Amino acid sequence: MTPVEGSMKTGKAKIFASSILLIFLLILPVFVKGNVMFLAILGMIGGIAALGTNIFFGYCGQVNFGAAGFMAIGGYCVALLERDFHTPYILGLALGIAASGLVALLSSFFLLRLRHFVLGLGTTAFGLAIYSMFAKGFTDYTRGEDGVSLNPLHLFGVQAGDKFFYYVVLICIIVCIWISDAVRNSRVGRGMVAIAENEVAATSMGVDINRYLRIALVLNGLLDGLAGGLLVKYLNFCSPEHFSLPYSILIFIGVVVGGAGSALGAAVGGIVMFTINEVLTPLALYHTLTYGVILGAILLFMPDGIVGGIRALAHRWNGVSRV
Amino acid sequence: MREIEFFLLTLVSGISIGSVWGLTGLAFTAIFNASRVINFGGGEVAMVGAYAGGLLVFSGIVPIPIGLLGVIVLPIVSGFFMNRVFAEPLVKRKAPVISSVLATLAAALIISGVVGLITKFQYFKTGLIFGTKPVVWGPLSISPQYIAIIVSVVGLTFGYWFFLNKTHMGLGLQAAGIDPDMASQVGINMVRMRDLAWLVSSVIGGIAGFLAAPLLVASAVMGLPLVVYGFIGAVLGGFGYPLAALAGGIILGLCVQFFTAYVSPAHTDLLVFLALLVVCAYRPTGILGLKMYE
Repeated sequence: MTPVEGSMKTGKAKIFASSILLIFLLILPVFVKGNVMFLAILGMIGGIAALGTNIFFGYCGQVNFGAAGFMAIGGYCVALLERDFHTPYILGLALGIAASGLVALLSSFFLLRLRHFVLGLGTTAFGLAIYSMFAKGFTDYTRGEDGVSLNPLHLFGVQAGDKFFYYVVLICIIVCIWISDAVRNSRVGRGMVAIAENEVAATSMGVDINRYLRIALVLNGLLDGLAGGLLVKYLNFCSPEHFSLPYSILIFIGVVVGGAGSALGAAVGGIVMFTINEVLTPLALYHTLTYGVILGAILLFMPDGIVGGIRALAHRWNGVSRV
Repeated sequence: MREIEFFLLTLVSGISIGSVWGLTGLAFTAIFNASRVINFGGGEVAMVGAYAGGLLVFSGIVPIPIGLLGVIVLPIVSGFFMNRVFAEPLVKRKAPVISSVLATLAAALIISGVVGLITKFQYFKTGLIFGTKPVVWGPLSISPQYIAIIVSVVGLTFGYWFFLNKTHMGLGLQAAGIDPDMASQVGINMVRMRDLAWLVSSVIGGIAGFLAAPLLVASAVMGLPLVVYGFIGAVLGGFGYPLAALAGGIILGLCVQFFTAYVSPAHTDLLVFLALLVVCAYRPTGILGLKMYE
């Protein structure tokens, strides 16, 4: 069979798989409630965060170990504005996203001078700086480790329940996947992928590396800011604990195990890794060990990520050998 | 006079904690130079060293020489586990480097989880190998642990440098990192070289953890902070250069201790990391300005 037919088949299969996934997600709240809803919402918020990092790492190939820093900006913006100025949530969220994008823009002037491992260090330092600013730096104002409590979200005088939140987050993640795909299929997105392949070659083709990477980092900041803003309002609580280095690494892991470079893959990876992380919490003592085993198994047995692994399985099922 | 004492004490503690981070960075560099993998498990190897010390040397279950042997052997075993089960299969499959990096993280979580199960994630008790009697020198009284750390850091670093540059094996190790294909052409066994790199790295990391345990708080989760600071020190000095990793670690240790002592403990992390961002942006190849290691 020719590659063209193969790609058409993959395209159809992708649409088929995403529709099944979408229908499943749409009707999920009818069947489950309580704890499972909690997990699903937190998982999808993780998926949004992973989508942000996917633009910077998956498309441009630049590591980011500081994504939780952007989430912290978004989250704290919502929390502090509500506490001190009684800002309506939707306005606070918009400002939080904007602030996170702005911080991403400012940090890009430092971070984008770096590459490879040094960029890994730079983003780590960025994330830790933001974390320590909220956790230890200005405890009089941010309440440090104690965190800030928020009021539950009210909608026309009625307290919004899990179901409402679920659909809000679902819409957000679909919009984010759409944005990611639109970016990927645009001129800018193709330039980003060219940067990941080879910077010198990309420059010679007329790609403005700094500008494209800056766009990617700002998009990363915007999406992760959204994730942070959603997270604090859903938990009605904002504490530095959710924005620490392990969470940055968790987001990054989500992108890699989902399948870096594919928006759907990153979303699935983020959802899976965040959900597993939450599911394992009651295991307490066994949490770290189990998480390590699962992560290791995914990396060793699904080298192309979760979505790549499923695709390979589907191909085998169809009797098509992998190209 | 008091102020000078305080200053000197800060200096000594900065150098000690910095050398521990530097040693972790050195252990990093050893593996990076042979296989281009950043080892997230470096902190866990050090934690195993610390735990082996607490379990074998200071509890009096076995004679002290055997205990010290355990401090060397257990980290090697854990390093071997990380390499052979997680990193090596991915390197062999020519998977992206980032997969191997995350695989070491998975291995680190497993080791941390196992030790955590044994210790119930409580702090575990370690001791000071040269006793608690401070060494008095002029107006200064320094804990012997600091002196032990500084002395063994100098020894280990020199030993590593000698091994890397003056022995046949060490040169092979360097060649394996610089050009793997060429190295295997001239008959260097790449798998064995990577094993060797992990072994050297584990010995260094284990000793670092053993000595640092009383300074840091020894627990099953001490690995991640150690690995982060070691990594920061290594990049700060100039990534890929063993001695630069040590220098970077010491600079970082001094910064942290002096900020804590003289500026504000609460703002230390924020200031240090912000300073780091600025330094990185203006000296992307590290403070020492060495050529970037590709």
